Amino acid sequence: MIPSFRPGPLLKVTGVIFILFGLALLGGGIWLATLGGSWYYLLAGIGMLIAGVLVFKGKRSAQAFMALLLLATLIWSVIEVKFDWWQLLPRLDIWFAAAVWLLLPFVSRRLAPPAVGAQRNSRKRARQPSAPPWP
Amino acid sequence: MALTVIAGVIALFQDYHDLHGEVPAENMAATASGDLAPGVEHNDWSAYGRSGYGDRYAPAAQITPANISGLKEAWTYHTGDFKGPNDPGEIANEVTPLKVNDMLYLCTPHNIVIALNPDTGKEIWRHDPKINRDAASYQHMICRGVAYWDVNAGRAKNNPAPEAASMECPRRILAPTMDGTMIAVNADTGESCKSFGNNGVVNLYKNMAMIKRGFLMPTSPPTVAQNVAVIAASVTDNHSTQEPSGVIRGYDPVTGKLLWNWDPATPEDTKPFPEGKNYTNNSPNSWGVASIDEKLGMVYIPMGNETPDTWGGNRNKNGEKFNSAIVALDLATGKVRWVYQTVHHDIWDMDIGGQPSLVDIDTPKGKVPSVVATTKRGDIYVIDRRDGSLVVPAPEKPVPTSNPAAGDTLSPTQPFSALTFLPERNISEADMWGTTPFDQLACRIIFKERRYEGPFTPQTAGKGAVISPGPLGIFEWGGAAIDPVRQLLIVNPDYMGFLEKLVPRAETTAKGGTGGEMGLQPQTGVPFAVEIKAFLSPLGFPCQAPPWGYVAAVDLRTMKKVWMHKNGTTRDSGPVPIPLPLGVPSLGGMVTTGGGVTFLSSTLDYYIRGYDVSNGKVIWKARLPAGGQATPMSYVSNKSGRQFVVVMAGGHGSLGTKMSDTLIAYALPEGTAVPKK
Repeated sequence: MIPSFRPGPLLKVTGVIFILFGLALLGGGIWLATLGGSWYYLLAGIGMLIAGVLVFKGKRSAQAFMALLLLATLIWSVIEVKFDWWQLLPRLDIWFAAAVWLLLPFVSRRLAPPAVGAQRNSRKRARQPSAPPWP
Repeated sequence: MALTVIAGVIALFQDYHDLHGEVPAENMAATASGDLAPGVEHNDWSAYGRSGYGDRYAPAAQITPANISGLKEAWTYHTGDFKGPNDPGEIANEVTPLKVNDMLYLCTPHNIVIALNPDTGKEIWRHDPKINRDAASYQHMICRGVAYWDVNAGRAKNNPAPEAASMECPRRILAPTMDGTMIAVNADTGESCKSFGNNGVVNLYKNMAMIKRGFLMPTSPPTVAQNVAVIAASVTDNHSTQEPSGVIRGYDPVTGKLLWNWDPATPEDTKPFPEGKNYTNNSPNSWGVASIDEKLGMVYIPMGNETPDTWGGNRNKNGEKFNSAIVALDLATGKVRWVYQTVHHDIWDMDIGGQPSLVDIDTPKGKVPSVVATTKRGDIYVIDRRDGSLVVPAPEKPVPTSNPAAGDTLSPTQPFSALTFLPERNISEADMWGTTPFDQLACRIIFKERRYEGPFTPQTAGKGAVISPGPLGIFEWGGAAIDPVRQLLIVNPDYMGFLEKLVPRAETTAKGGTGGEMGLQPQTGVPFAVEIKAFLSPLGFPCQAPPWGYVAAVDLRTMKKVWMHKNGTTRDSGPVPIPLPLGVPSLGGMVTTGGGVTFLSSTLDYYIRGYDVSNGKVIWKARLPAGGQATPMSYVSNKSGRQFVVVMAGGHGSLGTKMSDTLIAYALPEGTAVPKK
């Protein structure tokens, strides 16, 4: 049996920020889709919401899911604007930053570990006083 | 993530926007033949665009791509004329000085005329017409330049004009003022020429039905031939249907007597109107600089359009065909010799601001005396200046005609020149920009909410329309620089769309007097006011993807683009001063020189740049103390023999660049070997 896992405040705040991002994209995305525009933002908003919930719950799958979102966004971006640097930038910057954030060691190690042994280790470390740089 | 990084790296080396090319060797090797700039001494720059031809080509060849690294500031001069508390937002230093009569002549936004020593920048005289300064509601406080007249022009030194010895002001400066006047000043002393007009002043409000101060603004200098000074003026755009006439008038440069008046609303009636007979309010006007061919006896007027600009249901019937046209008027009589219209029923303010440039173009059929007109639409019209026929074809093509604004009509077709800088495809949702997915999303929503059907999208009430190219154009008042020897046309196109919206009269109480052309304009007298604003994201970043500004060259023998590079950085326009090389807009023209170097100072970042005319590469730049929204000029001092490049770095109020009062001259260090021609 896997003991219950409690994500720390860092993940909760990250999760909330992602959820807010997701809501903004979803809301605007619905608006844009009703105007006959791209559905990407609506879908990306849903994706960001899910990622936010995963992070909030401390699920390690958040990393893989975010990587998937980034990949999907990358493919969509290249289809829209090819490899135009200044056009790729606004499409990818937030996603890239979000993915990097989840991979940073002090964030990553707070996510629920895949194995129990590693988890104990991680929780022990997590209990140690530390001052994580705030987003 | 690795893929994103890889995509990023690939993108760093992709370039979808620039055109890399070299001017053919044949063009570069060409030598001057014939009279390239009639009436101008080799060393001088005696009219706004150097000569009546308005080509902005200085034949001086001291500064070359090989030695330009040595080009340094030679002197600076401060005019002392700054924005005051009662000036409009649209106050700008757009002056291009003249160099003639061994002096440099310029004007300031408040129309102070100043003469400087061309070698040192020391003030020789200044003449302050003391215009009204309670001007916060004026749409412009701008002086682009002055004109020069010399009784002995075109005569041998040993054969002066017989009247020269006894006349007042045998050499004079004719200058416009924001009070709606043209003044004559002795070019040698700065004293008013009392025998000109009424005590040195010609009142341009004469025979106007609407004489309210600040509504008639001659922002550009008159165009002067030996026997006639031609002057036009801007009027307050989009204010009402009760505004001054757009009449263009020819005056005797000696007496200031009216010789002819051409009002587009009464185009045949060019004999001076008698006392009490008025010109037609709101007839199409011209606010740019005209060019002149004295041999053909014609002046080429870049026409604006009848204001109110964005609804045309009640346009003057006679004037309609002159809106946004190039009109060739007879210098002696003011009668129309020919007219070529670049926009039919213009409700987009695609008025022609750039001075048309005259050049004799090498064609398979020999030299064709042409006039080249850049337009806000990005089309460049190349016209035989003798008869108005097209040199480069401009077929009429269908444009959107559905759902015009209530009471207005739309032209079913518009001309599209084969020589154009209009992007090949319309903007789309995917062209929306921003700095993050969030403001990009906002821009996409703004874009999709508004009407957009490409160029000539009809003006629309409700959510409004995306007008791109916008009223700042692809080409604005800077026009083109033309190298008549190398047969090159050099331009600085911009790409910034605008959002415009018609507001039904019942929904607005707009009064006007905003001191600029942006925001809500009343258009009193027509059914709609209009709101005009830049197409920006909620965070204030452009909604359209960069590049926003380029420099480019066209080979006039083939009419093909040779090179085109995005130009300028975000250093002075972002929230943080980072010089990202995105390619930023420029407002003000270029000058090109016999040495093969072209200069531009008017980008949003405060630099003057020198370009190798053969490939458009930036080979020199200097930091300016403020915005350089003026066309630079170049001359050779008769005393020292040095070539100077001079630019007004005084900023532009409504563009938001830093303001200043600094005129800067650059030259190679004294004693630099002058290359033999």
